[in-house]
Amino acid sequence: MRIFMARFVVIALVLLGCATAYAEEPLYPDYVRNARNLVDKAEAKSLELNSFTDEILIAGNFIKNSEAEYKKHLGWSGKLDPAAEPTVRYFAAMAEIQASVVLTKVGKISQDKERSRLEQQLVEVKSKIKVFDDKNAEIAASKKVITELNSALSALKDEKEKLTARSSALGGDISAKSTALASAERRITTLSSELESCVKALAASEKKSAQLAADQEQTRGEIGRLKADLASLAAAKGVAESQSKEQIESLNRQKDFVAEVGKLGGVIKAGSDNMTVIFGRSAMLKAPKNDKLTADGDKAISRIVDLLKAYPEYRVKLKLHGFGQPANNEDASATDRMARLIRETLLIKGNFDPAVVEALGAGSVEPIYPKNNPEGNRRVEVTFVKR
Amino acid sequence: MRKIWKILFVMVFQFVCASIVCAADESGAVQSATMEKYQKVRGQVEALANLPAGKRAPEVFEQARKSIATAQEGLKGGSDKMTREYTEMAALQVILATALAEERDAAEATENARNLLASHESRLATILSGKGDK
Repeated sequence: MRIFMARFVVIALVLLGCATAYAEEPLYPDYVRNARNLVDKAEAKSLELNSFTDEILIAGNFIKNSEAEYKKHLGWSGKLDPAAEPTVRYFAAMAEIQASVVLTKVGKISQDKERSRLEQQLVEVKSKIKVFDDKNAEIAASKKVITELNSALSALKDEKEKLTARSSALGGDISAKSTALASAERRITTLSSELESCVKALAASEKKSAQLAADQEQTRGEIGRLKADLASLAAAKGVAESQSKEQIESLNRQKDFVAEVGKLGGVIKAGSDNMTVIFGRSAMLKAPKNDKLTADGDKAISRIVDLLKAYPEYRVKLKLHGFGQPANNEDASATDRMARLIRETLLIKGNFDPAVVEALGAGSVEPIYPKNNPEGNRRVEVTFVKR
Repeated sequence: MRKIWKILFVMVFQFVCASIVCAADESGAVQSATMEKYQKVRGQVEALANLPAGKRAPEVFEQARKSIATAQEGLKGGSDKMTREYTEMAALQVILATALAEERDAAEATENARNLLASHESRLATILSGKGDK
């Protein structure tokens, strides 16, 4: 039994030694160690981020493969089999590249985080600056207001200076005015005394004035009476003038009328208030019946009509005279018929009122010529009489 | 006893299969899947030249081009292993270039934000110091 135990211990020690010897890591070449370091570094970063586990696993496999290949082809002399070196290098390079990929991605994440942090910080700084910018804007606005206030203040100062100067000038004026006032007061005193004397004089004047007023009143009454007299005289004068004018006009008209009557062509016989035109009967009426007007008679009647129209203040008295034989053609009845014929003609032609023309047959009782002149006595007398 | 033989048979069969695969792998016949992947990754690498990643991470882009060139050499040499490995490396480098470009863009944006913040902080400091705003 002891021998068995001793053998077992020896064998165990030998196996332990071999295992220890086998487990000892060889000294890897630089490229393998560098790759290992990079993988370890990437692994550490991956653990920090708790990410890229697959990539790290791949990188770990690569480096393990590299190390395994190295160990596998490491000779007893400690040299790597040259044929295996490319494979070892390949795995190491792949591990390095994979680790680099992980580290690069980790680096990008950290850059992104850093940028995010910086941007956050930038936002904060900008917000702080904005506070100042806002304040600056407020300050600028306030400065503007202050500038405006200063300019207003300056204007007010100028105004104040002007007012001060004006006040000084007014002070001088006031002084001068005071002096003038004093002299004015003195003058007022003088004037007051003068005024008293004037008042006295005025009282005397008023008395005199009252007397004069009475006199004036009396004079006014006198003037009124005189004016009334003058007015009545003027009225009388006016009436006289008017009457004279009317008379003159009347006389002129009468004169014109006489001239017009004269143009009728008969014999004119003027009376005190009338005018008679004598026509031969044979010139007016057609013989022997004497019941129609001659052409001259008609013309004469037309002219008489015109005259009566131009001078309506006159009217006509017709008187028809006969003389001689046969007596029935010359008597009052016959001459009256002839006179009515002429009257009717006048009234019709002149469209006169019947009162305008008066007709009378006188017969043979009023001859104006001797008996041997019957035609002279046979006549038509047209007398114009004022109405 | 029969069970032991069955186990031994399976082990021998697996060994033979593995040997055949390894032999095929080493023999120079590039597999169609490897070819497809090579073509795809090559297209990605070529496209990278016109993408922001190719300009923002030119060193990685250059490495990817070298990797795809090495894969091409493997293809020409009929090495499926070499073609596959360097194709995968180029693919990973394309990913790295893209990630690197994004990281650099992010870094630039961060730098811009930092500068902007610095200018605003400077302005704020000026304001707070009572010198007034410019």
